[in-house]
Amino acid sequence: MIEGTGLTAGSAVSRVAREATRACRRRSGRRQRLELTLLLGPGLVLFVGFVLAPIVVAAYYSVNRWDGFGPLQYVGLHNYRHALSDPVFQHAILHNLIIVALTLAVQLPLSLALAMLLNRRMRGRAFLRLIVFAPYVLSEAITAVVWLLILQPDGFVDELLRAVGLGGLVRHWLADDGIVLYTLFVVITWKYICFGIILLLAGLQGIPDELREAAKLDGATPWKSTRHLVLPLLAPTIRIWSFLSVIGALQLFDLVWIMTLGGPANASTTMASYPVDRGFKRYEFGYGNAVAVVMFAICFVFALTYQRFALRRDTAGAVTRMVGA
Amino acid sequence: MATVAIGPRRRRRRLCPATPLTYAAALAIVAVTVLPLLFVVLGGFRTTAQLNISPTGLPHPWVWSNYRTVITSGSF
Repeated sequence: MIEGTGLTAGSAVSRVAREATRACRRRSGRRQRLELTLLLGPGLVLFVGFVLAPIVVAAYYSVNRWDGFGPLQYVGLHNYRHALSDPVFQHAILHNLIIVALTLAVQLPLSLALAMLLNRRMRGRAFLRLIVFAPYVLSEAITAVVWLLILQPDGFVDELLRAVGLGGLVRHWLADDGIVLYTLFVVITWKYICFGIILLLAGLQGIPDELREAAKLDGATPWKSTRHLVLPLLAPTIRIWSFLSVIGALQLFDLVWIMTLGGPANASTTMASYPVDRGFKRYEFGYGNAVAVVMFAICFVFALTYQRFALRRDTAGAVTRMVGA
Repeated sequence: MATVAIGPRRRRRRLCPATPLTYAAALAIVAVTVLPLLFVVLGGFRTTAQLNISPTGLPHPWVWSNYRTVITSGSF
C-alpha cells in the first residue's frame, strides 16, 4: 500500500518533473534565442549594413561604367583589366609596399628602442611618456596640415637645417617625386611611432623583473637577456603591432590626400588615394570601385594569411575555437 | 635570513640605471616630438606674413587676434 502509493506518487512526481524540465528547457531555449537575438541583432544589422553591404555594392558598381549621374552601363571585368594594367595603379601598390616595408624595417626597431628607453627608471619618465604620445592624439588632418606648413620650401624644416649648417640637405620635400614618399613616411612615423611605443611598453611591463634578474644571475649580458628573454616575451605584442601597422600602411590615405593629393606626378599615389581620385575627381565611379575591390582583396588576403599563420598562436582558443567546444 | 630580508628591497633596485646617454636620447625624442607642435602653437600667434619671413622665429609682436577669432567664430 505504502509502496504502491510511493510508486505512483514517485512516477507522478517524475512525470511532473520531466514535464517541468521539458517546459524549462523549452523556456530556456526560447530565452536563449531571445538573448541571442537581442545581443547579436544590433551588431549583426550594423555589420551587414555598414560592412558587408558596401562591399557587395562596390562589387556591383565595379562591373559597370558609371559617371555618378547617368545610367549604369555593364562592362564586365573591363574595369579590373584596366586597373591591373594601369601603371599608375601598379605604382600605387608599389608605394604601399614600400611604406609597409619601411614601417616594419624602421618603425619596429625604433619603437622597440624607444619603449625600452621609456621603460628605464629615469627622471621625468611620466612626462616623457606623455610627450611621446602627443602626436597620436592629434587628428590626422591636422597633422597633415601642420607638416604641410613645416615642409614648405624655405619653411621651418629648411630654416632649421640651414641654421645647423646642413643647408645642403634642403630639398623640395613634397615636390620632388624621388623623395616625396619618404617624406610622407617620416610624417607617418612621427605620428604613429608612439602607438608602437605604447603597445611595446605595455608588453615590457608585463615581463616580470624576476626573469631578468634570474638571467642576470646566470651571467647573461644585457644584450643577451634582451635578445633571448625580452624579445621572445614581446613576440605576441610585436605580432599584433605588425598586423595593425601593415593594415594601416596598406590603407594609407588621409595624410597623402591632404599633403600631396597623390602628387607630384602620381609619385605618392596610394592604393586608397587612387580610387578616390578616379571616382570623385574624374567621375569614373565604376573604375574607382573596381580599384577599391582589388585593394580590399589584397588587404583581406593579407589579413587572413597573417591570422592563419602568425596570430593563431596568440588568439588560439579566444577566436579560433568556440568557447566551451 | 639576511638574504630574505634583502629580497624585496633588491627587487625594487633599478634594473637599468639612467646614464647621460639615456637623457640625451630622451631629449632628442622630446625635441622631435615637441618642435612641430610648438611651431603650430606659436604660429597661431603670428600673421602669415611673419611666418613667411622667418618660419623659425618667435612671435615678435604677439598677435592674439588669431586665437580670439577662432574661439569666437560661430562655425568653429
